[in-house]
Amino acid sequence: MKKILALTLALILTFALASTALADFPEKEVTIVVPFKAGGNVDLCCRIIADELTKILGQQVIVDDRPGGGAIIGQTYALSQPADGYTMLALTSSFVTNILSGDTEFGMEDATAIGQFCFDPEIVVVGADTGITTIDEFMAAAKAESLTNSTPGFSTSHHIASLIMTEKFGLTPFAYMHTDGSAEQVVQLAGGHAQVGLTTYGGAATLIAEGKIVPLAVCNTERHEALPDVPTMAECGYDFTYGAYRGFAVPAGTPEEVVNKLSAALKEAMESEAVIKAFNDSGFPIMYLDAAAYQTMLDDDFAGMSAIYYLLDEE
Amino acid sequence: MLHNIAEGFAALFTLENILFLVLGTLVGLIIGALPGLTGNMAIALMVPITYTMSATTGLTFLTAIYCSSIFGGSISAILLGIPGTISSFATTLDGYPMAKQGKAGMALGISTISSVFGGLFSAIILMFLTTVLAEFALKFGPAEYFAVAILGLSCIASIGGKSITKGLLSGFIGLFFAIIGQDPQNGIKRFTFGSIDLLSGVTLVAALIGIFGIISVLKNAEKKTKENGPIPDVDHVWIGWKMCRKLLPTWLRGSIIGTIVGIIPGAGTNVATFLAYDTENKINRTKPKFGEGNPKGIAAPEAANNGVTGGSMVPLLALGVPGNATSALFLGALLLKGLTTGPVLFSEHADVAYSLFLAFFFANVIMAPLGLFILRYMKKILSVPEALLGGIILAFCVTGVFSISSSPFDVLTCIFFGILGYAFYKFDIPTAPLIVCLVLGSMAESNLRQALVANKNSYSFLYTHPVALIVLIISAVSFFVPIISKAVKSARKMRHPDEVKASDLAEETTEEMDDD
Repeated sequence: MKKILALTLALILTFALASTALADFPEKEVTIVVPFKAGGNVDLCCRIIADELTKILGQQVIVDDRPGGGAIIGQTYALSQPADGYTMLALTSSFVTNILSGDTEFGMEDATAIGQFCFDPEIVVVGADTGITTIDEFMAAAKAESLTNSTPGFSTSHHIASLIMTEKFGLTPFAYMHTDGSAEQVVQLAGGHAQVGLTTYGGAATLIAEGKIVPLAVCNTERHEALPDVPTMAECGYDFTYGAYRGFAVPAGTPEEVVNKLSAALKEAMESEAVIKAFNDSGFPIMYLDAAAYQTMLDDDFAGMSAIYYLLDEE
Repeated sequence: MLHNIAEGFAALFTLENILFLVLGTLVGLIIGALPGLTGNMAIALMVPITYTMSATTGLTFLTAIYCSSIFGGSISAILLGIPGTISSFATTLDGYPMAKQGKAGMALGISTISSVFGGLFSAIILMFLTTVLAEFALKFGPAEYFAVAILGLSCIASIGGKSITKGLLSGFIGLFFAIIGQDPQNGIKRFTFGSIDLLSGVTLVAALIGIFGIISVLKNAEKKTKENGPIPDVDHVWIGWKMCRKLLPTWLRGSIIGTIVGIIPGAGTNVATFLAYDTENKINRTKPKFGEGNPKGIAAPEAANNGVTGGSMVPLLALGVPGNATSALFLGALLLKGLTTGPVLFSEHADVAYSLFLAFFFANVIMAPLGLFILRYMKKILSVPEALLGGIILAFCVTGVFSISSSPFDVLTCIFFGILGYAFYKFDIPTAPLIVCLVLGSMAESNLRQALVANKNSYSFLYTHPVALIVLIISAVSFFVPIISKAVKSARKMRHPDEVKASDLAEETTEEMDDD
């Protein structure tokens, strides 16, 4: 009896809170849960955006880093918060791969997209002392023998991109050297300890500028702004697009008005001068997608990844 | 060069920068001293704040926090026996015993001056040798890292205390805990029992605070001896010129080890402190023994961990490759300012680069007076009745652990390791080897696996890479010499039991010679 009473009270309270929340969201601070370490790429992006969102929403937007468990800990935490829009999850490609790994309690249906703010395409890079200078030379070398491929970690988007590339172009499977993070990954290439890697621009910028690692092609439909001389895979005759995407999501069941408000605020933030400048300076390519487009992209990615996930299990 | 340094001076010496230099040093000292709160955390929180500052001011602020938080960790290591940061773990081994002997002021003085020495040493190396050394760092591959990790692990034989068997047992338990989590090379989950909290392994800081913090509370509760009693008195902290002269060789060795390890990307502060402590332990001829409050046992790790600070900036500034988590945060701060690292930084933003070097220099200089100033009041801040101290330490530990990543699981980890450590204490098993293995186990493992990938699954890299080979030979010597010398000694004791009884002094002398 007591339980039922408590439950009813809780429900009434929830509805009461929910209806006021709808009236003029947000009434208190909004938290962005980052399931990665402070100081990483996702954390940096979120902190830049949080500053701007604070101005737009008129409430403090704070970043809460909850790293560990391959991002599962932070993702689980954020998605188990009340669906009221006051907790957002910084959602990256790892969300999809984590679900496919079967380790998560949540599924695709548990998150509602707010929007995407960044798409960081994979760039195929080789160490300077490999002597490889074009993507064609690389493909020939990678077909002939097994090259050592350094990644920032097992089952990261960079590792998966390499697996898909191997499958698609019939390369000899790489010998994978899984390091801890993109900084270590590119050092292995620059020092000649590994030969090839798929990485995003930010972490490799300096070593590319110094000529210690050589970018061969960008896995995107258009060239990278910071690397105007590097061709896209498509230009060289290889149909291959892959990259790390970053966006926000809220727990499923969040009222539509709140989702729309957050989505609009994100759009405004991504068009603001401060964010554009900070993103450019940090080497994060801005690519805004609204809630519907991001949701479609996520569902497509899930479908695509489900089809090739067996590659990871074979490793 | 001189012109650049002058430019750096001009950029650094504004009222605003000096204010933030002092503020950063204070913040770093306090955060470093609180168990669980690390300089890394402070810097991560401050990076967005620096966004509104000029590049020089922002970097100066972060530098000051970085340098002083490493030093700050030694304050709680000495006064409470709990390392404020992992890098001050080795400092507890001799710092806390020394404080308990009533020489807390002396111990803190040594740690202050040693930290400053190490910091200044590495700042000078950073200023003059950055570009040369960066090239050397790149040549360090998985094989070399593996060898360095093994060298760090080899010290468990000598820091394990009286019984070699118990020391090794403790080390192996540490290695076991180090393999918990996802396999770095194939993603297979090891001993995670389906828990997502264990996927990335045991949280080091949580385990360490458990081992030191919880144990000290339990010991205190268990018996009413003064052993873990009130916080020792801090008397005068100036150690005198005579002591400085005595410690100079230790400082130099510690600083060199720290700076070199700092330059190697990814090797980390912890290895440096273990190596420096173990080196001094092996060559020490002075009384008291290491682990019983020898000043050199404080000087070596403290010079080394501050030596790492400047060293870790070398690969970052010269190559754009962060050497540890902290320098990764500096990279973030630089990028946010629209600055790129590498040679471009020196040619296009020489003022920023050189003011950063000078900030490292001056952060270390003002750390000493500010540190000594704070230390006077530290005792007052912490002077609570003995009976309440345990509760306060426990509260510090738990909140510190929880603040790492707001994870209740980390608190459980802390409690678990506290109880484990207490069991160790009851069975008279040393905890130091456990900690060394816990910290270095995964570094050794992932680099071994990476080296195997790079060498097509052949172990030939163990002898084809000269640096790795030399380091591995030193490791073997460092591991087996203490074991053999102890075996020889006990054999001698068996043969001539009266001789040993006759004179304790004689035994001490042979022991010192055996250590060579």
